[in-house]
Amino acid sequence: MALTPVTPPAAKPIIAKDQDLGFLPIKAQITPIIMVLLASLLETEPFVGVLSFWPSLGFLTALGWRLLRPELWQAWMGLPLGMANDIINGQPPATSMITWTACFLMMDIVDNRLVWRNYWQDWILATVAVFCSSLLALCMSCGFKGHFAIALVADMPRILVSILLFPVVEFFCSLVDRWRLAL
Amino acid sequence: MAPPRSRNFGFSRRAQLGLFASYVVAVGGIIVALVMLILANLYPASYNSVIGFITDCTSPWPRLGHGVVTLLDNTRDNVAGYIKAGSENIHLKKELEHRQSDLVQLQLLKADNGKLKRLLNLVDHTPEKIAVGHIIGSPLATSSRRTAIIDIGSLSGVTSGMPVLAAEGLVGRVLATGHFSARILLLIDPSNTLPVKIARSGVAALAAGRGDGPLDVRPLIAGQSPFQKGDLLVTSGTGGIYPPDIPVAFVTALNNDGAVALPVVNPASVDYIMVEKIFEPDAPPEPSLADKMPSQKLSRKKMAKNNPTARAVTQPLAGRATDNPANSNSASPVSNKSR
Repeated sequence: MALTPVTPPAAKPIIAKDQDLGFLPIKAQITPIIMVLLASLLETEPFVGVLSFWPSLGFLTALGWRLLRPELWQAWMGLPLGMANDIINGQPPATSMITWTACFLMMDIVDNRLVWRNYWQDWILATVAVFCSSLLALCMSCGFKGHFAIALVADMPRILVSILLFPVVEFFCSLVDRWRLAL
Repeated sequence: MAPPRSRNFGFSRRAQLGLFASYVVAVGGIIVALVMLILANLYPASYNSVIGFITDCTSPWPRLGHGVVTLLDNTRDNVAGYIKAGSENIHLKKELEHRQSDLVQLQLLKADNGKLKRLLNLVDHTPEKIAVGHIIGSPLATSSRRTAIIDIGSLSGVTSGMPVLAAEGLVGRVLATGHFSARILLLIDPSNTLPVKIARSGVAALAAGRGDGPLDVRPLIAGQSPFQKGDLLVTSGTGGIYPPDIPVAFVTALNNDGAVALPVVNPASVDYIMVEKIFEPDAPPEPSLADKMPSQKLSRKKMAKNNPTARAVTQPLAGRATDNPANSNSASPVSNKSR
């Protein structure tokens, strides 16, 4: 598997024990946040599309970091990151705030249940998260009125592309993670 | 892969409480966000100012990208034009000969039209242009709201609510303005509804975005569907904002409760856009004071008893209301105007 995340031990992480978590350098702490913000910015493209096909890069990056480094963020981190994504992309406010935080909470529950974690599990979790959050966002914007089914079908290309792109995004996250934790 | 570092901090009471607190914050935040969602729907103006400011901050990136895209487009067109120059020249010369006769006829028609209009004393509503600009980008990953960013803002006089037009027809309206960029709501957005009429017959209808491209059109009157395939829908100007008679969409298919229409303007291929002043329909003249005083006091029934012409108004089915120009209610505004 070419795109499996780079395993942290190969990079000699500066975190050896859980007790070191509170003493991360500032670079290591803000790099993931900046990366998510940049990815949110990349959702706005210099052309207009009638059908939405562009993956929700901000959400994918946030998911990638969350699945790669479960100890990095608490669940509430979805609130500020989601809010930034909403504002940058001019969405109805609080849409991403709610969906991202809900997904982070879901990941926490799953983390407590699963003992082992592998590549496929990450992808399946991301698939479920992308699908549920898109559905929730549609509910919040259309509120089941009018053409919910049409809106969902119209949204399908974007969901599919997002799901297929997740391993690539997670791979990039792991690359940045290695740079972030290097001294 | 090794199990992820769990966030269970063993027996440390403090760490466990901290974890619990983080969940409380997360769930509380979701509730606050829901309240924000409702508030922003009730009072969109305050939220839009934030959006406008952020649009200003992020607009350099789509602006740069738009420049690159335009450059590539122009290069392609130039190369293609160079190759096709000879054959195109011959073709155009032939076409010009054909058009010459049409042109003469057109000028005659134009003169005729102007004369007739003067006779009818019609005043053309010339929409007031505020600014001309480009669409420089749009967030593509948001399915819930279809917006685009334009490269003119409040410094050029753009304010939120103004209609945005392209050469072919209506594009949308301004949602939020920054100083040198603005965000517009496209016609195809599911939350967008606008009053239209069929250009052929003048029957009013409501068009709403579906979110996947076409618009959903519904007639305002119940009964037989007034639409035909290929009908052009234009704005009716009812309710203001959009000036009347701007092309909006073509009807492509009929369904049970209306029709599906494809917008005239494809936002993906728009070059220039114009922002126009918010259209304010002429306010209906106020009824004169003498009419107003008793009619407000009297109930509808009493009025009908006292005034035979008012009865006709309350019973429009009788057909007298529309036929009778001497009707007191319709006559008073006219006299008002002439004064």
